[in-house]
Amino acid sequence: MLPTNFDFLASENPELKVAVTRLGEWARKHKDWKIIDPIAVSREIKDVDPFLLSYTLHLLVARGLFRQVYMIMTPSGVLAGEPVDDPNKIPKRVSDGFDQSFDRDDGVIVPILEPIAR
Amino acid sequence: MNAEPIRTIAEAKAIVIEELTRARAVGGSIAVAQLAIYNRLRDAGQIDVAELLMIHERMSMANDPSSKPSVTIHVKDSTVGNIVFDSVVTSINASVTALAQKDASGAEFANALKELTDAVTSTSELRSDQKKGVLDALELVGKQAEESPNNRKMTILGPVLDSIPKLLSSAASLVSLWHNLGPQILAFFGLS
Repeated sequence: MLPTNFDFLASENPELKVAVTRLGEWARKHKDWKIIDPIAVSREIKDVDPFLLSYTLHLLVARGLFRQVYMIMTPSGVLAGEPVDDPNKIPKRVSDGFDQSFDRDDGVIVPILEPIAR
Repeated sequence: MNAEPIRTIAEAKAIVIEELTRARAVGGSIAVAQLAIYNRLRDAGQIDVAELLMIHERMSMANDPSSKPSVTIHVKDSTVGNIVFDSVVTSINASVTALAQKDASGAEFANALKELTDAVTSTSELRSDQKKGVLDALELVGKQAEESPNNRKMTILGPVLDSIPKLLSSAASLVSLWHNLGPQILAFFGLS
């Protein structure tokens, strides 16, 4: 379950009010999701500066609502491997989940936000 | 948080984008460039900036037609067992948008397709592979609905439509939803 109430950020950061509001709406729409891939946010919220959305997500991590971890996306677009807290910990060779492995350097590192149980 | 950190981060962001652009121009690996930038910022004591930029770069990929969206997360025994079916859902939403603008019948179909898609993506009653199967089917249904009746491949569409209630059978709430929405979807194709 995703946390859905981020209003405290808006009161502390008025310049983020629109981003916080839209992100809260997005989270309520997807409250059953177990993670956030930031690209899913920016694909749906197109009327807010992506940098402000990024900054809002960053603050939610800083405030302990989410944990930021990293995975590797294969050239075919599959997120693979175990989530790690430092992208340097992604192994050089990663299984794609179909018993095939690929080079980390051929992929894209993807930050993933996991909600922290409160 | 005042404006100063944002300005500082924005400057760092510009540096990263410039480096990534340069790396791509020379055919370098994106992952290698990401790590190099992340590590330089971390080593400079700016781990917060490094973490933020990783988020922002990922968000920016939404507007990069060359970037592939994440489809499935294959992680065994992990809390990150959920899925992000961006590409399929984006495709379905494109069909929904196109059909909603056609006529009343198209709008009704589009609403049903969207409601079903949203329910499938958000349910916890289906495994990720089951969701993938349903969404693939709904994507095909949406694309065929965009075609004129004469151009639809009914020999393919019929079995796919038949398969949807079976694919949903392990999720009671979705079976119920199909009972409500399925007739509208079938009627759109003249199959009711």
